[in-house]
Amino acid sequence: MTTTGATIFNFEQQQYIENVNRGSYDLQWLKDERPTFGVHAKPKNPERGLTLQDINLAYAGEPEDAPELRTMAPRGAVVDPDVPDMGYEYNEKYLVWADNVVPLYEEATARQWSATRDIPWDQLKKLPEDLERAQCQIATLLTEVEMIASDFPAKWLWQMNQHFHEVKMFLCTQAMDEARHLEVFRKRALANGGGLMRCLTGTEVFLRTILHAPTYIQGSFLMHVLGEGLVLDIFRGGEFLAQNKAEKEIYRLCMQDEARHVSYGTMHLKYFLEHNPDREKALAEMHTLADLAEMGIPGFLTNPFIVEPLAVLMGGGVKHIDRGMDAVRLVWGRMREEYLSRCELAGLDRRSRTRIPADPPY
Amino acid sequence: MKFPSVEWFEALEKQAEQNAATFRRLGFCDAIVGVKVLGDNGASENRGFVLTFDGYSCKSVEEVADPENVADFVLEAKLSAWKEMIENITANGGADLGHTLNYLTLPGDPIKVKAKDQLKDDVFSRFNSTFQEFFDGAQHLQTEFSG
Repeated sequence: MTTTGATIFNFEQQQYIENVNRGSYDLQWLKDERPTFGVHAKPKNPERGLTLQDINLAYAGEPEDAPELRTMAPRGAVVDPDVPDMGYEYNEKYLVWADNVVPLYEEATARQWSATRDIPWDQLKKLPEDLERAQCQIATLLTEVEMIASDFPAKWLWQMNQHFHEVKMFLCTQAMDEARHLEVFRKRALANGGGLMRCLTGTEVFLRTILHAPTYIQGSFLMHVLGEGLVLDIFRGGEFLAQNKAEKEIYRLCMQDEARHVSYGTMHLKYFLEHNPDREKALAEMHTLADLAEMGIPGFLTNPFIVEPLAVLMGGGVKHIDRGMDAVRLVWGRMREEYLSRCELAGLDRRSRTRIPADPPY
Repeated sequence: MKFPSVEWFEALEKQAEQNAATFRRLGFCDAIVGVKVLGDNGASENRGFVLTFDGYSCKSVEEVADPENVADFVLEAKLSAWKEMIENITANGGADLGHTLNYLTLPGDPIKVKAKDQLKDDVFSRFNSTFQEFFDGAQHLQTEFSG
């Protein structure tokens, strides 16, 4: 034992061990400075519990615009002078922050659900083949696309300075949400006889564009604002897609999660543009990105593997596909309007530039 | 109990309190919801209400002339549309597939969601299960309709 220890411990460690064995403890940590000593964060609402807002309010814990350190040390802690640099690349608040991210994190953790427990799977009933195939084609699409919103934040998380821990924590909830979305749609596809169906090249191309976006803001715009905004409308339209209570619950619960992600993305874009040191250049770059990205939307909404299953579900069968197309047209209009409204709110006015047709071409 | 009235919404609030475990499972909800009931026979019959959701329940109900001034979003519909929704909830022990809030609001008719901006409009989506559960409480009320 002694021989092994001698090879493992360095001089300081060995000295400490000897001191401890003599009953002499260091106790320096008891004399250390304590910048947050005396803080007694209290729940504003005891029924809800102690929130991040409560602790931030208690010690004025708003993050700095550009923290000096690149460490995992918590905001408000004392840090050794020789801590290593983690190599974070996102060290300025405007590159990641959104003013609603703290309450959104709390909301996300409070409103988690289980795809196993909270969906009334016993309510699934045998459907006519056209409806089952349509539901499964959409379920396949959603199983495919949802995980991008886990992969994307995971790619960028480690590059964000931990000083902005609330953003990283929120993105972790998003990754969990989307894992659950993959789970629930995969389960739906495999729970009622229809099975997994076709994945499309165009969808994969869009997902790759998000995953390989060169900067976080570009990917966030593509994913949170444009992509998830569109999927949010599909989830809202799920009220028309659902053929039973199980499917209705699936779409409703996914809609709640997706709306949080879109809210973060919209407010992040706003923060990014408002606090960017070169706002004009940033605005021009975001417009250029949006010009290109919006070109992908018509492709999505004219793909028969997407549009027609939606119409069949919304109309109530292939026989009523024309009626269903009315509902698809409605979703098209909502999607466009809500996207433009979100951009407008963020300070990126796309109304005069967008090439997404106001009226669906069918 | 008459719809629309503060008493009717307060009765829903009490139902939610009795069903506290379900609302806790759904998670907390921070939203100010406006409800506007348009008279079927003209604007003079319009009624407005503001429901404040905070934590796991609806904390207060007020009657106001213009809920859109304070609410995150307003659910606006004619009395006849509200009547149909509430009667459906009562008959089915909760809204059926064609009478959920989301179903009735998606086309903007018969119920319209009105919000000052898209972020506030999205509040309707973020807490939708809570709102639906809240209105589904109407199944336990004996509702009479004005007009």
